[in-house]
Amino acid sequence: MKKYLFFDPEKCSACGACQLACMDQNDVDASTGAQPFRFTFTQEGRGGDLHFYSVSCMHCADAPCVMGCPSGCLTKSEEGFTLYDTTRCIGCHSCAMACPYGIPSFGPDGKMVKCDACYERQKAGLVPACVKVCPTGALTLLTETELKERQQARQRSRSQTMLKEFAV
Amino acid sequence: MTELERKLKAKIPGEDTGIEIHRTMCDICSPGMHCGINAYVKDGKVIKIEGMDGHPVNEGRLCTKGLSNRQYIYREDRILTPLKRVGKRGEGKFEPISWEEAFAEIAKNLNAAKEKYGAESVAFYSGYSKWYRQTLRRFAYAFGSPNFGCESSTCYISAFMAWKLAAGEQGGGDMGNSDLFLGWAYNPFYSSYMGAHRAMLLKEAGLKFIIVDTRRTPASEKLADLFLQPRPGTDGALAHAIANVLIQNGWIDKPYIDKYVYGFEEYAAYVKGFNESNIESLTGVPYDLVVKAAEMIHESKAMSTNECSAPIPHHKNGLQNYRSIMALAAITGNFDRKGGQLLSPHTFMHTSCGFASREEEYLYEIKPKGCKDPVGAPRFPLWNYLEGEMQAVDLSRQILEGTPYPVKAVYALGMNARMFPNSGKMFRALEELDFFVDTDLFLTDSAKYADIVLPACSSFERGEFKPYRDGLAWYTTPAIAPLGQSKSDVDILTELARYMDLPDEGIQAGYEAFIQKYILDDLGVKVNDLKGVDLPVKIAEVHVHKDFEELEKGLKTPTGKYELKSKVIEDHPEWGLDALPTYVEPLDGADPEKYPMTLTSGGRLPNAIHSRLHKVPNNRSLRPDPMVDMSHADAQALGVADGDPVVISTPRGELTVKAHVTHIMPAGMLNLFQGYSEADVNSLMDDEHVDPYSGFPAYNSTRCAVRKKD
Amino acid sequence: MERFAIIGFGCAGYHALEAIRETDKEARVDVYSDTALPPYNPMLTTYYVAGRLPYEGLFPFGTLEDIAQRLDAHIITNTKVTAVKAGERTVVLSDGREERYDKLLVSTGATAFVPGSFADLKRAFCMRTVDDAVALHDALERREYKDAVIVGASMVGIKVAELLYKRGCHVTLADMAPHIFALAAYPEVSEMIEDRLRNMGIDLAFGQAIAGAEEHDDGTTTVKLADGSSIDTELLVLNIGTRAATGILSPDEVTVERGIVVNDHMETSVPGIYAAGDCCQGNNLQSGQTQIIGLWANAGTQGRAAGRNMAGAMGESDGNILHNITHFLDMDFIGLGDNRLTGEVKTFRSEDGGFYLQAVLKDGKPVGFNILDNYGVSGILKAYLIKVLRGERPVFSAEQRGQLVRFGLSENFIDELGAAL
Repeated sequence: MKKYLFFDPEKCSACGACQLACMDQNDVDASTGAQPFRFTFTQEGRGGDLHFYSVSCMHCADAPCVMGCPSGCLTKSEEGFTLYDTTRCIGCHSCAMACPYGIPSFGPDGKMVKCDACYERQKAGLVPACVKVCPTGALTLLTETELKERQQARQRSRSQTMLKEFAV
Repeated sequence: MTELERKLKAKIPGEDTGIEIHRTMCDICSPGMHCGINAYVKDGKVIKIEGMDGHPVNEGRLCTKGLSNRQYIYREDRILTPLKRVGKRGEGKFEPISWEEAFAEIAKNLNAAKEKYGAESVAFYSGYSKWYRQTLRRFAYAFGSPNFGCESSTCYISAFMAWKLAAGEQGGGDMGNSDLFLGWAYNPFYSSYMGAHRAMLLKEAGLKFIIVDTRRTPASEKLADLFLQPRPGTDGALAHAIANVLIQNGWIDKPYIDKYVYGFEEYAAYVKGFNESNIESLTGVPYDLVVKAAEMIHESKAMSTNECSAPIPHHKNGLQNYRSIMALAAITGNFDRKGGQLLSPHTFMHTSCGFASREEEYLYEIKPKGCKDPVGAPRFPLWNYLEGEMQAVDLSRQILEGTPYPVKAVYALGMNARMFPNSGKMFRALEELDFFVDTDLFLTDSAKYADIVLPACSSFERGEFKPYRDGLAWYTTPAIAPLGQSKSDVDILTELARYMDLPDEGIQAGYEAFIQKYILDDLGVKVNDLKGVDLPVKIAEVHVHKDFEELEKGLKTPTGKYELKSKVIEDHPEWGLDALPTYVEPLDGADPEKYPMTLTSGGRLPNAIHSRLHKVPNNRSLRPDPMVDMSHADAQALGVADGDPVVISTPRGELTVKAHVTHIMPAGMLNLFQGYSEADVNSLMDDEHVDPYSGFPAYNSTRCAVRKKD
Repeated sequence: MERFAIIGFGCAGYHALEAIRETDKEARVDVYSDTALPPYNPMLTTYYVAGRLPYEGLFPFGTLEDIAQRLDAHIITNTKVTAVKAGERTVVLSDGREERYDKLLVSTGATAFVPGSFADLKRAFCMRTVDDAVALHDALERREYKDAVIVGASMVGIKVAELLYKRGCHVTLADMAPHIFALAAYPEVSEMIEDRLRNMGIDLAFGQAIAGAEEHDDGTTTVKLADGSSIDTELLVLNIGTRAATGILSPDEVTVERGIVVNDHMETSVPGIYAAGDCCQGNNLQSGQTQIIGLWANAGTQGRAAGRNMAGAMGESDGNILHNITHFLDMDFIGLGDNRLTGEVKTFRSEDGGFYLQAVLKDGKPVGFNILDNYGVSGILKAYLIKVLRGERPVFSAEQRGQLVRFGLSENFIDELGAAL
């Protein structure tokens, strides 16, 4: 069954809890210079508008990193997650160049690391670490049906907002 | 990788991996939270943490601050034994000693000070957190000193005082039953985070929000139907202007006021002075937005309010401003009414759990009688009248000046000299002491001044009683053994009390006995029943609100009414304080030409609290550098780009930090977070620029200058 | 039942097979390979030689047996295809047999190019095939080389240089081109890299042809440069370039230029014959013409597109641009786009000097990037460049912008890359 690590920017405040939970889960210690798999930030538009984001692997349907890896380390799971086994990773950074979101990073051993949607946790019936902590529910793990409902709801709320703005 | 290796890497609990979930509690932020944490433990070590499902506070979630716990516990600089200073004060040279040696040294020196200068010459001080404070206060009183004091001298208590003056005790908003929420300095996205989720759900369900803040925050962006952005410390004027519109339009509850409110006529006359003619120049908020706010209040059926207890009081007019905001609920009949402001008296350690306890009896029954007033009493008489404890903002002065009496020794837990305005002065005072003991998990900048440093353990390494709202409570079990020789704060205090043979059974009986006798006996519950429970359990029936019941019964104010005009203050003209919530300009007396900007340091960061998490690497990585938030307009005027170093100065000194150029800041205002060793904003603050009502420092409105670093 | 043939079993061939099986579980797929090896990645050879990858690691898709079983393929090993008879839809094998096909994929890859002047050398090494890798690997096991000359300052050349340098060998890198990475780097960026290499003690002999080499009885080789000078060395490695392996096709039947010319469906000029990978010329988005873009990932997408079309499913290789990332000697070089295109140059250097970016813009639109030491921004800028070339609205998504800032690019510079559009 397909699953989605869904991010709703409208609920996010870029508080960084997901980022720290991810670092805790994956033993990323910032003092070693290691990069977190998930990154949160506030973006300020030219007009002063504020937006809040949490970014990690998008688990692209046709993930360019999978094709980009010369060693075959990256694979797609049945659920749609982009997984990896870096036994044969040579640290060539090809996946980084393949990724349109700047996601792959490299650990102290030079091998690639990134979000795997806490796949083992999911197998054990647990949700990803970031989803588990998210204080506002901006990050959720959804089935295909739930995803569609969310997207439709978001569409509805957007058109309502637009209608309101239009009325004003 | 084998299946087991994969599970180990993913930290899946189970017999095969040897990873167990131990249930514990976070104690990084205020007792109002204290979320349940599932600690994943392997071989006696915490390897992962997450929020606890079903916990009444966090329901499985966890915030940025709480996520620090694992790295916090295992910080490389944890103190693992008692230490004795061998270098100069502040130098950081110590040698390990035994607990026995430490206790002997402490007993000898505290008793020596008592003998030579009197018991009051020893001050007992608590930094953050709060969980052991009842024991420390009792210890101080058993020792014979009136000088128990704490970090709450600059946090929360001012708000508590405002509530006591107006309504006799603490209260808060009944947000879930309101149709309008007045969030004054309300940003639950960065502190008390569970409020954010709730607020968004309530907003979806139709709750309207007025957000008032000096800076834009996620709350102003995501919640506000109306956003008012006053200049720092002008909240009182803004509240008065809103009140005046309500009164002038008759949008108030006159019968309610007549029956339940004291001082309305004088108050109404006073707030007339805040109107269309002056409000924008006083506060920066356009008058039409003031009217809009009043309209929303008028149109609402039930308005609850959040008057945040740190940012609003952190001005020289802070307590009065706080009272001014509170008044809006009173004049619209929203106090003691469903969906409005309800009384919520404390049950235990500043938290309201819906049931009564005999905590106060434990705190005060052995308070020394006939001894000298605590530190700060002459300077802050209202504080002393209402709180009766040391106003620690005056501590450094009294240590250095020795008036009205000398303070020669300080026994502290978690002392953070950097939290005091003009923080260098507190460091100088610590240097002057005959004897200074600090208890901490780390050798902090302040602990380096101590003669003896005692190693405390974290909330994961101890058991403690913790009640929550709705009559729930548990007694936590240690998730891991204390690191090194560290001990829980209350065990340290109890053991020292026994060592010194303090003349008080209550303190010598220990923490569990206190909980049993003063909190649980009345409920017919045993401490042991609460140990080892998976989740907090119901231990008491809670008080159910009925509209106007408290007002009908009579509030615990001198008049029994809600006091817009304080009878306590009115009856003490010698204090020189105003009984009405009068407004004065917030800024200090520094030359406005030379110091044209306003410095604030109160704004929260999601990843930090006080100085506490600055050395937790992952939390720090979310904002690695101390940065001053600065508006685009100011940055442009200075020719400063994002990330450029700038120099902030006040008459106390200057600091160089990176500029964070941001749209969240209005022009003319700078914001720098507190507690950085390398950029201590409080070293720029003025220890004289404080609120005469509460003694609270004006962290949020101090004149400063800024220039580009050459 | 349809019968497919795949000639050459590398990245493109493998992905074509996999793609055919996505749609068609029944068809017979004959895979012809002139070795008995599973598909391997030429890029991995230097890692094997450096001891950073075990031998099995050269074969990212597993063993032939596994592949044959997993994808139900009829793999004919150690068999060279000598010719394709397009008219008869047959392939001619080295043993003279002819086998029929309905649809054919040519994925024969490329071979290392060794100029005539070097053809007779006995002790020179190349670095393309598994055999090449094993040969150098074993040679380095057998003895220590004090010095080496590597001809060809390409991505492979630098990796050979790195592995020898790390073994304590003195390395001279030689190339006819004036600069390192001549096909990907802007001269300024090449110079920065060259400075670093020289500082490490690596000698560079660029800008002149290698006239030849002479092997001596004492085991040394003298490499002669066009200016008359010469370098004596214990070890000579040639990475002069590759040539598309197109020989089995008759230019009378199928259009072949430098490589086999294909359209977006990877079909050659002859219906039913497809080509993918390093032997073919696919669409270069930037030039609008077909060009060999000899990259692992490109071979994969092309092979997949070919396989899908062969099996009757729609599949397009949506074109590509020149792009390269090379991680060597603790640095990263990334080249995106055709480095011969000139225009307005914009540069960005991080405050700590740890990251350098050079962008070339034409009519306000980026046409190429060189990046030093920042893999984090490379994929985002590549995706952006492709977007620009496809004529899509050239914006960075919020996530991309956030990541660019995170990895050290300034907001202002990001705006400059898009502001003109």
